[in-house]
Amino acid sequence: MVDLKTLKQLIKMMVDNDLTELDIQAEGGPIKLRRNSQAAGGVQMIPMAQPAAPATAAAAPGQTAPTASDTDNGDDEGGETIDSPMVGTFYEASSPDAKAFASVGDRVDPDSVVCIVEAMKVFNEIKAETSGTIVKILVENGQAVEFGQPLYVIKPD
Amino acid sequence: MFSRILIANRGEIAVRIIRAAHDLGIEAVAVYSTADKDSKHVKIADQAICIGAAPPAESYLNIARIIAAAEVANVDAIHPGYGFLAENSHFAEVCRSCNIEFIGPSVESMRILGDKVQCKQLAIKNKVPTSPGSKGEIDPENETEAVKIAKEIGYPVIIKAAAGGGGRGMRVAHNDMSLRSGIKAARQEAEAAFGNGTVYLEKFIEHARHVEVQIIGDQHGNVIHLYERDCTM
Repeated sequence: MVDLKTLKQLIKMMVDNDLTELDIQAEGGPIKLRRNSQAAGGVQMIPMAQPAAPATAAAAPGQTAPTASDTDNGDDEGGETIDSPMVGTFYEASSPDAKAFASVGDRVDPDSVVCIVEAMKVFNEIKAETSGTIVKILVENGQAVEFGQPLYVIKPD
Repeated sequence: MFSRILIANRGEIAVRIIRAAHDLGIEAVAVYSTADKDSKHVKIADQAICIGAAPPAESYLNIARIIAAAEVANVDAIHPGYGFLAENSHFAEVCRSCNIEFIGPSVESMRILGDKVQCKQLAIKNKVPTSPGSKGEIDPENETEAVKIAKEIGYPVIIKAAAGGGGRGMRVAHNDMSLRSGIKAARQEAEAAFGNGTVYLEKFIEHARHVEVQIIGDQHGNVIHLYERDCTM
């Protein structure tokens, strides 16, 4: 098993670099650390007993696509959700310095553009498809999203 | 060796590929339609991305969505499995142009072998015995020519779609009249099923046995055969 001091250093490294996955081969066996970057920084460790191997580290960047279980971020307060119609990378605005298309509290119509989902260098404008007020934004700028993934909680008119 | 691959398929073949990837220490990314979210291949993959609704055209046959998933998952390569896009040379081309390796043959090989006329011409060029038939595609405007070729081959003949598969776009003809109507019917079916109405003629072999020898090769010049397989129905 890896010692506590090293473990704390690894966790700090994950948080500092916004990593969601860290797999290492330590002397005592492989260690897997998983962190949900949307939650309040909790890190889960999954120890596994396997033969020793030299220490190598493979870190996954913080923008890996969430699996199906991560999409249960919930529509709360009886609202509906605006879901992604495609796979790609979510952007809240048309460019890094531009104002976000949709912020909490904004009212939208079916044809209002709420965000951009980029795939294969094509920037697709995503429409609200419904009328209402944005209650919550469920994804972060630059995050990978899958088909059907809820992006916004919206309170219909 | 790849570190992460995406499997553009579902069901048992996706499961087998994921298992093989894991045996090799490769991470496996699964894609699924909304209908397959509880499937086994989704459960055993390291990562799973929903790419669309149930119809294959919106999911497993949708090149843009599969490539988008491959990009967000940052994979090195895509394994197409069998069926779906596995024999689609355009898909292989798109993958490689997006810097994602396609685990399969070269685009050129897929293009030639996916077209029965070109494939047969390649065989003849390499002195591989073929059944008697037309040298190339049948000119749809020239029925007289088709009849002449059929007589040279000798009835019965079979009209086959160049882009065909699964037994579709084929008609057997025993005489000139059924040849003419058969060519029309085969062309129509081929156009509808494969988007390509090109047909050619071959001698029809009755009570045939369909035996395949499967061959696999890699980029380093290694080629092996996987013995024979009786596909006679």
